[in-house]
Amino acid sequence: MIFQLNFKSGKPVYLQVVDQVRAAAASGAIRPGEALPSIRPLAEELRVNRNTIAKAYSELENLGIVEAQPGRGCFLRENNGAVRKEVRRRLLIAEIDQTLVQAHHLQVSRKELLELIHERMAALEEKKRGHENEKEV
Amino acid sequence: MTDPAPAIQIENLSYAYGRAEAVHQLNLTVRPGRSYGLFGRNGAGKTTTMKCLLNLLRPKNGQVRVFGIDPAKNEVEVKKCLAYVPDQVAFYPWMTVRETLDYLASFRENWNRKIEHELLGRFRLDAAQRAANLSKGQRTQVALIAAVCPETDLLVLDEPTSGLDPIVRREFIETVIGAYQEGRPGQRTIFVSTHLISEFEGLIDEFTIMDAGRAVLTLQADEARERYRKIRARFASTPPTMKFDGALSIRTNGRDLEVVANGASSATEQRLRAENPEELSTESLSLEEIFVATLKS
Amino acid sequence: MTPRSIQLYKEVRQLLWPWSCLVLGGLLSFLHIPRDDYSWSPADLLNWILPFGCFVAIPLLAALPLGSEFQHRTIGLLLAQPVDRRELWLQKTMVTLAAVLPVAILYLFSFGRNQEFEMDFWMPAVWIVAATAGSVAGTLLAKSAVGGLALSSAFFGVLFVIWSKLAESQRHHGDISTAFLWVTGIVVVGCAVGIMWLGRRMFLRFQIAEGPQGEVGLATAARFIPRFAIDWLRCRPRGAILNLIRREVGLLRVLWLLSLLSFVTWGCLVVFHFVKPRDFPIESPPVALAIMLSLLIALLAGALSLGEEKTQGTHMWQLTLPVSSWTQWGVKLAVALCASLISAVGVPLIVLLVSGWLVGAPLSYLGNAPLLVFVLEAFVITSVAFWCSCIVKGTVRATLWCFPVLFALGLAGALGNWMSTAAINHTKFFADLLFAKIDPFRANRMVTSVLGLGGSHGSYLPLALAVIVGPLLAVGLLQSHRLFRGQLEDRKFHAIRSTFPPLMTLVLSFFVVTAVFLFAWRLRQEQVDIVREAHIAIEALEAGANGPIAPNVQQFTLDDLAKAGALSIQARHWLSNSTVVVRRETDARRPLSLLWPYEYAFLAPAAPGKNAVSYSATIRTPRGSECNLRFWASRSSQTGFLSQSCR
Repeated sequence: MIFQLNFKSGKPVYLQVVDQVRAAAASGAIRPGEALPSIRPLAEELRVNRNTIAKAYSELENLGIVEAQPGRGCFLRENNGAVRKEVRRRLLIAEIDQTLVQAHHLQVSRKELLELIHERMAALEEKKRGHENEKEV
Repeated sequence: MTDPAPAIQIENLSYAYGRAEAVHQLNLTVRPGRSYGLFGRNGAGKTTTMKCLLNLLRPKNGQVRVFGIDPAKNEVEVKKCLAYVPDQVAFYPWMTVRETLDYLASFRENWNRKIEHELLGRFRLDAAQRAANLSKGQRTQVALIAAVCPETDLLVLDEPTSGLDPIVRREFIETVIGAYQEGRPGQRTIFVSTHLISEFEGLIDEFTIMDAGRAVLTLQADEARERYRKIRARFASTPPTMKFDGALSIRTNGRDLEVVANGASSATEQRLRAENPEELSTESLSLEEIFVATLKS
Repeated sequence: MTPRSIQLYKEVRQLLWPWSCLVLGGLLSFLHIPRDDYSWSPADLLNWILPFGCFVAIPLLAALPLGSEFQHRTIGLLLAQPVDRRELWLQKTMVTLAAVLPVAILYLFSFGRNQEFEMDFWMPAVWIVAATAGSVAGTLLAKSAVGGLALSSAFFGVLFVIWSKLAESQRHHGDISTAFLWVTGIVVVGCAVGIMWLGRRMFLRFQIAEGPQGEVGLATAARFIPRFAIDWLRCRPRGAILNLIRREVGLLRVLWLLSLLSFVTWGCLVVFHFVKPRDFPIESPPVALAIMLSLLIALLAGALSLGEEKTQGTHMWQLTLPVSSWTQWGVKLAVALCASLISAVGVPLIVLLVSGWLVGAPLSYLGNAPLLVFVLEAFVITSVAFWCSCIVKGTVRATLWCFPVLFALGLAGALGNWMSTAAINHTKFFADLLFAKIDPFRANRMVTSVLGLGGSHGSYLPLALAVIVGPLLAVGLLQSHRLFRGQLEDRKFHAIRSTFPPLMTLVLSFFVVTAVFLFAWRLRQEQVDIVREAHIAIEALEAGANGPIAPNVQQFTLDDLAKAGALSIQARHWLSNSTVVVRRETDARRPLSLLWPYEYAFLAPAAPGKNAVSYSATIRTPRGSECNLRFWASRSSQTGFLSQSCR
């Protein structure tokens, strides 16, 4: 997968890497069991401190998204991860709360918000289907 | 767990060339495993600071410690722990690349031949070429190889990429990140002084901005990017004149207003939003922009 | 290879070329090239190897290990390595001593054997010891090898003069007391150790204080220059040529400092009575040292301006200015020569003149001094140094290159001489071929003018000088301008190859000059031989015809002469069909001047077994030459003086 870093986004670099991996996993750009790029080549390519990439990968491991196999690299976990369902729900609730606050500040009404959510979910499905199709071909 | 000894500890360092003060009461701490940037304009005192680390200059006041050792008293021990790439690389003109590397290896206890071979190939350097015939970029590459191969825990770089072409610059940084940091992950410390800040943006964890011999700002990179924000607003008519606390600069041009905020950016954003702008956007500052904004204010 | 051996190898490698050249020079100084008759031969340059080597080159060699670090700007690299500075100092000192010791022994040995320098060899020995010991300290202070040499010379020069004065005062019966020698030896060794320790301490505490554009270290002396001088030296926005001159004067900073030192040294010479009115002992050590110093100044005058520009890297940039390269080159050369004139020649001249004026007779000190030769040498050295600085990069290298180039010039001249001598005197075929064709009588005018005899006073000598100096100067100047303008070549042996054109020119010109001279000489000899034989024949005839009825004037032909005396083939050949008119002279008193109005005179015997008879004779050859002979017989003997002149 291709990473895109933006030093002007205000977000720490390692978090950007983490988020991009998560997005890729969600959209199907990486399949479960696929290997992520190794730390050193990725750091060299992005010209980012090696420790930052290492930190991102260890964060991903903590979140249960990837699994580090010594000597072989980091692999994307299966979707039924070791993290329990309640924990996953709790994490998602935190994210949803944040989004609601943001929507309030941006003066987006409830109806609009729900419409938007449906729109974005459909887009993600499209993307996933697209990825699956091209991988079959 | 106690804090490990800092890789570099500079306290109240002062140095003057004759009557011109180059460094004044500088305080700096570099923890091991970090990549530390020393930014400053030409003549800010960066090179002088680095020379004090190597006992090429003796401080008039204050103290310098490298891994807890004083360079003035125990310079050989200090130099064994670090490798240095100077800003003006000069080699003995009659020596070939091979001879130069062998000569520099003779001073070191470890010398990783594998890395040397790999880097020579990567940079496409001819080992039999005389040093007098190398271009500036090639000389810097040889100096970098000579700094990476001894596998020291501290790498001191003094304006390493000034005057080099973009490809050589990228390869330089890639080598520092790759070949150097890989050796002992998490333990290798990098201390780089430069004014080409955008290149080292990804590498730097922490930095100090120096101006006229004094430390003006010391911050972690992530913190800095979070704190410094540029807020742009476009209004329907002329923007209101407002004063903001902690704003480094305020610029207006026609109907546009731009505020560079140092901390308290959300408060600033809210105040601006209260004025009903047509458009409002926020973005973080890159390290180079932080540098310019800090020194120009 | 162990680490230390790698580092030592690097130190040694730096010194390799200069050391070999010095050794070569030392070996050459053992050679005694046979000198020909005329006054100055380029082989004379070889005689200067010894003093230059001992007083200048060996101290420069000692300053090289540390000085070349400054020259290559690798001093930062060296000091940033994890190695003890004491170890570094030890390595450099070891290499210095290992290099200087054999060369010093070689040169001192040659000194002792050479009778031209009546110096006792331990005087340069003391100088070498002192300068070597002070090399580290001097180089660190001046931050360059040449500067270190200058400072060492400064410090020790004055001491040396004072000490020589003491030595002179201790001289009994031409030999210096051994007690004095021992005391001096101990003091010198003690001082040497002290200065070396000082140098070591300076090195251990050395700080690299300047940035990449660091000054050569003597810029601090700018504080002592008076205000108006600094004002004049500041470049103005207008007046390009004047600015160029100002820049040159600035580049020659080191020179002005050295001139000051030279001034002091010459002053000491006068004060301590090493030079007295009408007495200029050129071989005594202090005077030789002062002369060396002035010649070193001349050398630096030529090498500094372009050498410093190339080292600082401003040379290429200067060439891009909208000033023609001829102008830039010309200004550099002119300022170098002027500076050399002022500093190397002018300073001693002024000192001597002033001291003479103080004594009351302004020119008294100059009486015996070889002034013209000195000016010439300064001129030559400055030109050669300038030429060398066009070829190689850097002041130190240019200075070092001067020595082999000067020696090579000397050898080239000697080679030219030898070649022509071999060709003319020893190649029978060539000689015979040539001399068979040329009438020695008709060629008389040319011969006399070449040999500088008779009325035409040495009109050949200026011509000879022009032939030697002219082409060499032209080739040298053209070459130096071409190299000045061009890129710095990095091909192997570029420097050596560049010396070929001037050397070839010099060989050729010397060949030509000597060949012409020898040719004329041979012709003259031939003519003299023929005349001598004719004279003997005439004498025989005259003596035979002695008698009361002998005619006063007689005319003979060649056959008569041939019957009377033995004539060689050449005589017969050249005198064939000539008429000889002989008049007996009774007045046998010799005039005061044998030569006027004749050209040539020599001692000639009478006919065998008979008394000498005076006569005057005229020989007319069919080719139109006319020879007048006049023989004065000495009373009651069988010899006399024969004068001749031919047209």
